[in-house]
Amino acid sequence: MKRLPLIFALLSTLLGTAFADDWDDILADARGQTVYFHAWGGSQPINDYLSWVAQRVDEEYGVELQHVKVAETGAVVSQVLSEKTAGRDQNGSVDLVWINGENFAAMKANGLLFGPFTQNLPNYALVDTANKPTTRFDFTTPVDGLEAPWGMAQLVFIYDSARLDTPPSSMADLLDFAKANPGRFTYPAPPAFHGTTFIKQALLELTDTPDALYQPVEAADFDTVTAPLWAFLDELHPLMWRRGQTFTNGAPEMQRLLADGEIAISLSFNPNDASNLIATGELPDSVRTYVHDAGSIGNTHFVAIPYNSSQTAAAQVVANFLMSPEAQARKADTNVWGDPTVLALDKLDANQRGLFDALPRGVATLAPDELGAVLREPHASWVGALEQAWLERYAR
Amino acid sequence: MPTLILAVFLIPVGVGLAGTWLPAFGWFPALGQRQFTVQPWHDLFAYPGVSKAVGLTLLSGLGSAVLALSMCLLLLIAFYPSALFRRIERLLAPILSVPHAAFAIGLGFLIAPSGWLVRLFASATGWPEYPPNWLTFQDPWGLSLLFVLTLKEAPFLLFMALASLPALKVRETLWLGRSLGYGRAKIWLTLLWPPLFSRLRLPFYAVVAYNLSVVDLALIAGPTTPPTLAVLVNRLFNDPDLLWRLPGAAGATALLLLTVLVIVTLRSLEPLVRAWRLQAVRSGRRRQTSMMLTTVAALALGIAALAYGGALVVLVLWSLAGQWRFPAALPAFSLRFWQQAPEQLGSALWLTLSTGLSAAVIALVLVIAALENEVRLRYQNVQFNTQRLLWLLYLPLLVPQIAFLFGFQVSLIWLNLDRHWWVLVWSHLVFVLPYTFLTLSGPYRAFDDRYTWLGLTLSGSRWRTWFGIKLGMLWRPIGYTLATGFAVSVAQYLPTLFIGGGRFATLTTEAVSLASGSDRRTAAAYALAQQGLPLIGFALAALAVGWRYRRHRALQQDGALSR
Repeated sequence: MKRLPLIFALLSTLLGTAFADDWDDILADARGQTVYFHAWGGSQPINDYLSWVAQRVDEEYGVELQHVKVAETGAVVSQVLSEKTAGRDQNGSVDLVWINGENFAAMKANGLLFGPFTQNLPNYALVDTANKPTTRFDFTTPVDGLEAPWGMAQLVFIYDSARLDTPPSSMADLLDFAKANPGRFTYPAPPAFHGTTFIKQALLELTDTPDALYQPVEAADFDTVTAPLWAFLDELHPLMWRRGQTFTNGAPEMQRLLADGEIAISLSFNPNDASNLIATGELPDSVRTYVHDAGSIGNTHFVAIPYNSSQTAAAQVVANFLMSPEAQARKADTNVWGDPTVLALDKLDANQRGLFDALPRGVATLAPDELGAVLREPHASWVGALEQAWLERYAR
Repeated sequence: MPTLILAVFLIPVGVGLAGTWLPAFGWFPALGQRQFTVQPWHDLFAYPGVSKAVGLTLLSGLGSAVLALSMCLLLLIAFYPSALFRRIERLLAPILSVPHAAFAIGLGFLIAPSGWLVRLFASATGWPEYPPNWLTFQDPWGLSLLFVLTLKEAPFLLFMALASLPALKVRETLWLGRSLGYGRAKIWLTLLWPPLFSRLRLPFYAVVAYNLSVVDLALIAGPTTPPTLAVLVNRLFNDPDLLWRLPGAAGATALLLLTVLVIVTLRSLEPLVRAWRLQAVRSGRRRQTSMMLTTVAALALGIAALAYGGALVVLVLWSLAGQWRFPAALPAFSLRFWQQAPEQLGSALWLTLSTGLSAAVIALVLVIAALENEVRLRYQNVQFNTQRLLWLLYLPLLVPQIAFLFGFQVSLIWLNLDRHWWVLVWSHLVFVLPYTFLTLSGPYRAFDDRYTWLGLTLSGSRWRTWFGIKLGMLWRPIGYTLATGFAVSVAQYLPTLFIGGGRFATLTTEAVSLASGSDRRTAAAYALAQQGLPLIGFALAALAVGWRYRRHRALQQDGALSR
């Protein structure tokens, strides 16, 4: 009798290799595993959405999902790094992490990631890799199958239409707004990523040589390329909230200031943020979204699996579920979260497309044609250089 | 023996420091750094704003510690002993249980230009229509941080002072001084403060160290361009470019050096103060204490009361708010966040409770054992250096958390000890133990041993005497000590986060992660839950004491033992 489970296990392994493809193996391995998903925990709607995901993957795949609410993704990278320092190459604390940009680049460069794995995931075929190139290049770093696309982001501004009739359409316009309404605009201080993004957006709009931004920063004449940016900021800062003497620490604090009426223009990386915040009662109904005429920086956020996770099967199952039409459609609902989908709608069947068609468009969400062109992120090496230059000028 | 126990609790600090010093000098194998070099220090000092960050750290950290001490002294001169002071005394424990971050968030919303005070004014007068662009919070000079830290630490110093005052015969000294024609201020400064300060020295240094290295409060109330050194170091530790962790480790070490330097300087300034005081005594001048002093003290007390009361009310209001737009004086009320709370708080609440209670009880048992050992040694006439013990005990409070937690985390993973619940309790004990000792040692040492002799004579049993008489009479300080230890454990953020890679979710870690979001209402609800737990602890302690002494009238009076 004691041998029965062993024989059974042996049989199922044999059958698995003989008849089923890789994904079924992964599904079988995943059953009963627990995934610790380290994801920013600052937003109740997102936390609620992840509770729903946890419930669904439990029902569907027998995977237990634990959301580890982190305040900063950098701390998660630190955790994995500490484990590598200590030589723990298995059974790591983090099984899945919400990540993009520099954090991904750093983990990739230091060999802290599991994979490539996205090609294993059936739902990855539905991702709009053709029209959404940022699903393949994360801040210009090739993704190489090491992280699974989860949602789309584009820099948008949020303004209170009760206080402002026509929102600015360019950085020059924004400066005019600040002149007319001193103290009613600010942006987060770099290296907070919303702040760095604003700087990059301003640079893309203002510089005479935008092409230089897509080369490594060492190849460019940094001072010449960035001169218009500093001239703009020098003029803008004294007209900003608190005369530019103090800054916010990120978009969440900006939304609080907007809700308090301290500022009239805020920013977000989620085009549906304003609608969602109206739905949750955080922002007044009068807020709306706008983008500059030149378009705005867009990117993708992902989930990745650290190299030392021992629950990789279940982590892949969760990553796959997060890309499913069901999960993506729910996520895109502005009453739930409002995070734009990474999927290509024309790859979906009628039922799946129906899920997206049924979504109400949020009152403060721009129609796709209003959202304008998506500007690519500059080469990753610009981030550090811009941040250092900004700190040199405004934070010493 | 107590030294051995202490050593166990100091391991995390020692191991952690070493684990931070290695990368500070270039050793970080996981990133391919295997060469000892001072490059991280060069990078640190080349980082924009570091020198100003050090200045801000000194101003806000040292300034607030000195101000808190002055405030403590001022209140004592003006009001001790009096009925008013007894009332303050009773409020101290609950005030101390307020988590730093919750207090700063509440206070920030109180005094910000879009905050409650301006809202009240605006809704009454119709001006201003929109929040004015005033710099009342997070100013670039670190003044609001200094203000918050002062208000947060003054009650702690006062609490520590009150534990020592009964031994100093304040009333008698004041009578004596008065009869010689001296005013209150001079009596306090020349006769009472010196012995009191020698007992307050370590708590004061702990406050200095804490204020110099605080991260969460400085993130909320501190300057941003540049921030204080601790925040800057924290930023380096979390930078996406992993190599910044080396200068980060150097920065954490620099913060430790700065703390040591400041404490050594403070210590070496003491002879100067003593010389000045001796001169004041010799001069023999008798000046009546001016009314000014009392007025200033009353003002300070008023501001503190307003800040604490206001911050609490603001949090309660936000947790009950639906929408709350400027300039409405009150929000539209909604119970949504409390209705959701039970299912969301459940597991975090349980972990916070079990960890806090375990740490508090273990610390209590250890401290009582150490104090009993002290009594035994005293009777054996063994020379026993309590001062050295105290310094050891205080070490975890004097070393900036950020300077050793990073290294401690690596060591734990290396030993495969992280993620164990008992390691979490252990790491909390590092901080709970000193506070437990601080709270209990005064009343415990003040216990009149003649009661024990009497008990021994009557019962013949050491154990029954201790349990029935000593423990019976010390029920009140023990109850408060437990509540204090519990509150200290509840408040631990970084240690909880670092043990087990964020898998231990307590009310505090949940509250901090939600505070990084935009929704004030959820953040307020969590902050209140985090604050409510220690408060319930103190209330239960008071209730238990009341119940225990329901038939002992002489022990019912507050502080009956210590006077």
